[in-house]
Parts: sequence; structure tokens; C-alpha cells
Amino acid sequence: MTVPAGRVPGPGARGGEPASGAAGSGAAGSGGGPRPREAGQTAGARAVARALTGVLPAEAILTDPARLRTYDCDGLSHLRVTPGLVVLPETTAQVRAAVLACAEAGVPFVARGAGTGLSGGALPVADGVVIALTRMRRILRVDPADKVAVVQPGVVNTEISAAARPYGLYFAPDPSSQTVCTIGGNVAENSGGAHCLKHGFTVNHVLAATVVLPTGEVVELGSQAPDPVGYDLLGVFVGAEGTLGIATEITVRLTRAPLAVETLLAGFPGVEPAAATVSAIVAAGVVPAAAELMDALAVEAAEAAVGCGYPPGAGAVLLVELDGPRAEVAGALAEVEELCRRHGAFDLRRARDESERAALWRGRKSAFAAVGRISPDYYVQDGVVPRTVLPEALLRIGALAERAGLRVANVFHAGDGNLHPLVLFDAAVPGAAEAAERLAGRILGVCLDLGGSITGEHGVGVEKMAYLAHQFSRDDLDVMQFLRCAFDPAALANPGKLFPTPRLCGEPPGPRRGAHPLQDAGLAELY
Amino acid sequence: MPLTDAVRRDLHALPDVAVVPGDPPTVLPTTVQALAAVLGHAGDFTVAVVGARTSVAPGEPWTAADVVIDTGRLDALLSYDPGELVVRAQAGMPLARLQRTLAEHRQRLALDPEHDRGTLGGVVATGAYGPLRLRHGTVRDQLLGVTAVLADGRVARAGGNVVKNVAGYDLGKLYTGSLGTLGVLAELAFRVAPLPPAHRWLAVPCGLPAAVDLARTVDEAALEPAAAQWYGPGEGGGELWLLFEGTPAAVEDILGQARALAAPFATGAPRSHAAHTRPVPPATADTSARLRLAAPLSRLADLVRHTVARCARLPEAVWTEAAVGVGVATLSLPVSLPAGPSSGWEEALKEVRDLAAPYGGSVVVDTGPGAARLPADPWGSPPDAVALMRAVKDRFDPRHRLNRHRFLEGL
Repeated sequence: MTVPAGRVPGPGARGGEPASGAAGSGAAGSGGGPRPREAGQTAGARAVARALTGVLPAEAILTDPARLRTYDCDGLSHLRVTPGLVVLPETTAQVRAAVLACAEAGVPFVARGAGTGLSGGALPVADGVVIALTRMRRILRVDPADKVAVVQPGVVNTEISAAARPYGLYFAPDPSSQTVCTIGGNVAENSGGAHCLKHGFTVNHVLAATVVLPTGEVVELGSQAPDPVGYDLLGVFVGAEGTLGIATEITVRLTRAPLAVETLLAGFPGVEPAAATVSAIVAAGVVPAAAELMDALAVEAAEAAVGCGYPPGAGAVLLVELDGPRAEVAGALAEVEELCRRHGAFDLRRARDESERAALWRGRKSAFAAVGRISPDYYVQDGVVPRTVLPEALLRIGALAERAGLRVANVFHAGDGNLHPLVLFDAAVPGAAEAAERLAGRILGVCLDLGGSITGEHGVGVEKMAYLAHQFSRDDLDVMQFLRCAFDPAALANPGKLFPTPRLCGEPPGPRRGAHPLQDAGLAELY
Repeated sequence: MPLTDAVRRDLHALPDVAVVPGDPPTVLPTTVQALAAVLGHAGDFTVAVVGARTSVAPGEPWTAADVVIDTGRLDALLSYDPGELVVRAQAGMPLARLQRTLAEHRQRLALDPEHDRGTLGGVVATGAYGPLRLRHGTVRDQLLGVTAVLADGRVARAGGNVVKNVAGYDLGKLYTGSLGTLGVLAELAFRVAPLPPAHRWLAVPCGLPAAVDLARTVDEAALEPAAAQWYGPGEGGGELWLLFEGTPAAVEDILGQARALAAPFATGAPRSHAAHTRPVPPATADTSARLRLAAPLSRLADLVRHTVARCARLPEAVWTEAAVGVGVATLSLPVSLPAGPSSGWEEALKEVRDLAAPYGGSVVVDTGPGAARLPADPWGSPPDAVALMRAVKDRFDPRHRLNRHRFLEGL
């Protein structure tokens, strides 16, 4: 699991006392002022609990403060908010009951899978409801003839591939947390992974979903058959970060396992020739299944953590994976090896079997956690630049790091320009955490400057809300809000995430009385 | 409502907009700002959006609107860096022209719909695809970013110009296949793919059910064909065309394996060739309408068989093109089909749609350009989420002025 060590709040940290200003959107109050209407909001969560008593089993309704606190963060662990209530439904009907109870009481809810997300997308709303889907983990059907599987949202990503393997099939999206993260979370975040350069993202592999809308209605989006009639609502639901509803049953496409897989690892004197190699590979017409790059600092960390035995003295390590029919892969491998050598690669290694392949990947897969060996704390960033400007992006990140007096280890999906700079800091040093966060933010500025994106796969969540307005204009964001308002007119599904200025939709639906809690808290304006 | 003279005068006066008089008049903006100015005009007129008019999409014809917006002069290439495998262009650029530019750098948009004369905007709005869908997906899978002009003239972007990006809602998915009912596409960014150095087709004579089985066998052998299309009359005698792409040596190697796998399924000798063309309906099968069928892989042959039997009195006059590895098929119906109100179309379509519904399949009627319409609902029963779709339309285009009634359920 790749969670940032980050700053761990003190034992007294609770919801409503956000660990940093960035958490303000999820909390009931902002700026440290007095918390408004605490009793009323607690009453909201209590009302939902009451409404669900007898509908959900008693053990599926958590109200004990100690147990609630275990749901107070996701992988962005320096932001913590204790929810007012946690429910653990096991069926679509139970999810629907929970959402309906929230809708009737006007209480916001946050859906949660394994909580491995790195952008705070599953951060609870103070005194709101967390709907945890971890008990919905049945694989309902694997159909090799139609190449689909139907699964519940709490199924772990790799479990789908395990169930499909006997038929020579697998589920292609492979986020690095895939052994623990759930398909429901993958759908919410449109997860990618190391192999999405060739095989695409979650959205390219989800065919249909049963969705509980924020109004409590249950609809089918998409279809097991291609080209369902009507608007492609599933296409925008995937990646909407839980703001459009909760998927309770998901039909995924299964991919034929390739006949041949070749994994190649090469040491380079520096990052630039390694990045240039990736561009040359792509220019030669080869689309690798994966092209991963680590700089010297990241390699040093991985070496310290897992002893991966990467080429000693390398200024950068490039890992390339090719898959497909044997003849195709053999030709491409020769070409890639030649391009690596031509760009100054030394110590080329090719995996001869599965265990060697795993060994080559071990350093890369452990990289995030490994930086814990060389730094007390770190901040994982996720940004995208056009592939051809990777060297320039790294130079600029290096210069920013130097100016901030901080070290940055770089691990990235070089094939698609997706950077994961790891900003190293020591939280014990006063101001270091803030400096790291500032640096991480400036790195996003570099990504946007170079024509890229503020997030390639971790999502906006609460972490990057403020930066979304740098990537998109007010009009762009307003039009996105049209969609949210069509799905969730009362703004109850994961409010305070994704959009920098949460706004209401101008339609007071349902039995809610008085002002919306977000409006009261000064976090929303009427739209 | 007829267009007022005042509105006509205003449209004529807009900068960067050519107006072709007529009823309805056609306006051709040459910049995104000009397109925004047309839609931002306060006049209460409905708008039809057209590209190259090559599609045979269902719904209300474009002539029913007060004003036609033709995107044909919004056709600039905006940016193309071959090293990025990303291209940006305005929506009125014909697909063929973009492909020529990309081919100069040995790249392509891996999208091969029937008409490459169509515009990029039209390709996105209709969700077009061709045989390459098996390997590369539809335009949905290749659209990275979009700039659309909304019904009120607002210009809004979504997505981006890099292949990996999850910032904000991916509205490109929503616009794809929406037939221009949510916004007018102005600028589009696509991921592009290297042009494979070699490609070979293997045409295997066989019926449709055998073609489905053969495609599955080839898939299980992980030969990764780029396309698997069955062409033929009805669902009987025809050919499965398998496309293999890659380096010359690899393609020859894989073709040999595919040939061996095909033997038990073939009713004649398989042929291989490198032609870029693919079979087209015989000239006699000039069509009045097309039925687009979609089903899970294992149900496609059955749905085609029933549809041919039920909807065509002369099955041999139907031309079928079936993407057997994808689960979609197009049936081209001859002009001679009876089309009167008592021709039984509604009943026939209802029957095959009822057959397809339990497994999520669909049968959609596309109308041939200029031809008489079939007296039947093009879409069938509304999807489960129709109320939500209506809510989306109401938010994006509150007055329903864009391509009114073009989409299902009058959207």
C-alpha cells in the first residue's frame, strides 16, 4: 500500500479541527472560528442512524466514537475528520436505504472503499455519514464467453484478475495499491496504473454499473452490451470521485492475457537520457505496456528498503515492459534494447521468468514506501506533463527543490508523462511540512505551465481543489457543475471535494428545511 | 417558430460568420468566438449542428431547425507534436485530412468509420467507429480533451491535452455520442497511435455463427487481431475478415497461426491480402435504413439471425457487417422495403428489442441520408436512467434549442 507517511495529527485531533487549512472544506467550520450548529448536525447523523435502525443490522451501524475515528482519513492521512456515523451495507438495497436516510435528513455522505486514495477523496464530512462498502466484496459472475465480470464495489482489484485467470483473462487497470484497493474506489477515481499507457484506464474497462444516486434512486448506467442507447453517463460517473452517487454493482471488461511479456531494466547515467529513450521508443512506433522511471534518490531509497539490486551508480533506472503476441514482442524488445544502448544505457537486464520479472519490479513497486527509509516524512505528488518535456520538468522541479531546501525523489510513469515527485521532509522541523506542501504545489504549477495536468491518477479530492481552478476557467467548472446538479441537486454526495467552490444547484428538493448545512457553514453559495 | 428578420440581420452582421441564406439559413463561423456569438445571441431560435452531413444518425432531420450551424470552416489544426502522440484540431476538420497529416509522421487516429469525409466533431457527436474498434476502442477511448460551446454561448473545456489526466469531470465522454444535443463541439484533442509498418487481412469464408466461434478461438490464442469483421448477406454465407498489424515479420508469423486456426471453421480457402479497402454492400443493396445491433459477444449471432428473419422479407437482400469481437453489427436494409404505416415495422422491431433487452442489447434505426424514414421509433424503450439523462439535458441546454428531438425520448 502506498500511503504517504505524512504528518500524523496528535491524539486530540478530531473532526472540525482540521490538521491544515486545506481540510477546511470537509469540516463544518473554516478558519478556526466557532463551530456553528454543532448540535443540529449531530442530530442529523443521529437521525440517519435512527432511520436505519431495523433496516440495517445493528452491527452495520457504527456510532461508537472510537470506531468512527478509524474512518477519519484515507491515504492523505494528514487530513482527518471524524464522521458522525459509519454504515457498512451489504446490499444495494441497504446502500439505497442509507442514502435515502441521508437525503431525507439533508445529511452529506461519503462513500469509501479501502481508503487507499491519496487525494483525500474519502475524507469524511464532519458529522456526515461514511458509507463504507468493504462488506460488499462478492464476485457475482465471471463470464469468459462474454469477457466480463460482475462484481460488488468492495472487491479488491487483484481479486478480479485472480478470478479471471483460469480463463486466460485479467482486469487490466493496475494501480500500485491494487492488492488492497477496491474496484469501487477504482471507478470513483478512474484509476490507472503502470500499464495504462497501452491498456487504458478504469473508464475503458467498465461496461455498466448499478448506481445509487444521491437522491436515493437506483439506476443502471451503461450495459453489458456495447453502445447502450442514451447519454454516456457511465463515462462521466467513472472518475467523478464519488460526487455523483455510489456504484453498488460493477460490470467490468476482462482482457485476454498476452502470450508474451518481456521486462527490461536499464541503468542510465542520468534522468535525461532515460527520458529521451522513452521518447525514442514511442517515436519508433513501439507502444510499451509500461515505461517506468526512477531517479537516483528514488533508487537509493528502494535499495535501502528492499535491496532490489538495481544497477549501482545509476543516475536513473528505466523499466520497460512489452506485451503481446510472441513475434511482435520479440521484435519490439530488440528495438528497445538497441534504443537504450544508443542513449547510453548500461547494465541492461531482461527478466527470464516470472520471478526475475518480480525482482525487476520490486524496487519500483516499493518506491513510495521506501522513501520512508531515507526521510522521516514525505509528500506524494501526482502531476502530468507532455512526455517530450519530461527532462525540462525535472530540471525545474530540481531547481524548485533546491530553492526550498528540500530533497525530491522522482518516480514516474515516463510513457505517459505522469510524474510522482516525492517531497522529503522532517515534520519535527518547524515549518518543514508547510514548506513541503508549498513545494508540492509549485510542482503542479510547473505541470500546468508545461501544458499538463494537476493529476494523472490520484484525483483532485480535497488535496487539489484549489489547483483545479488553475487548470480550468470559471466557465469550465460551471459547466461541470451542471452535471453534478443533474445527479445531486442537494449536494449531498461527497461535498467539499473536487470543486474549489462548492455551490448549490438552485433547486431545494426533498423535505430538507431551512438553509443547507454547507451554506450555513459559509462553504457554499446559492447557484 | 420562424426566424425573425431581426435575428437574420443580426447573424449576418456577426464578424467571422458566413451566412448562406435559406430556410433555414446556414451559418458558418470561422472562429470559436464567432460560434459562441451565434449561440449567445438572445434570439429565441433553435439550432441544428452539422458537420459534413455524412452520418445516418436517427432522430429529427437538421432541416427542422430555425438556424443550421455548419462547423465546416472551423477546421484548423491546432497543435500536433508527433513525439507526444497527441493532436488537437478544430471540430470541423474532416477526419481524412487529419489522417493525411498524421500519416506524414507515420501515425494515425486509430479510428476508421465508414466515412472519413466526416468531420471530427461529427465523429465524436455520433460516437463513430470502424473495424479497428476491436483493438483501439471507439472515439470515446481516444478523445482526451474537448472545448464545447454551450447552448447559451458559453465556451467550456474539459479534459486536457495529455494522455493521462483525471482533473475534473471528463465531459468528453458525455458529449461523445450525444448527437450535438448538449453543446457544439469546437476543439478536440485526441491520442494518436503509431501507424503499424505492416498490415494484412485474412478473409475466411464462413457463416456468422462460425465467425463468432473463430474470432473467439483467435482471441483465446492471444493473437490480438486489430479487427474481426464478418461481412455478408443476411447471416449465412459470408466472410470473416481478420486484421493483423505490426512489424512485417510478426504479421506474417501471426497470419500463419491464424490460418491454421481458421481451417476447421472455413467453408472455402482463406485469402490474405493487404488492401486497405473492406467489403462494401453490393450496389443493389442501396439502403433505406440501417439497424445497429449490440449484444454481448455470445449473443450477437443470435440477435442478428432473429433480426434478419423478422425485419427482412428477403433476407438475402440484407447486408450485414458484424464486429464479432466487439458485439455490434450493422444491417443495411434495401430501399425496396415496405415502409407504410401498416408495414409491421413497429411489431418486428419490438420483438427483436424484447429479445435483446434481457442481456442489455439494443437495436437502433439509423436513417439513410435523404431517404424515407422507417415508420418506427429509432431507439426502442428508454434506458433505465432516462430521467437522469433528461435532467442532464435540462441543465446543459435548458431551452432545448440544440438539435431538438434528435436524441432519444425527444431530447
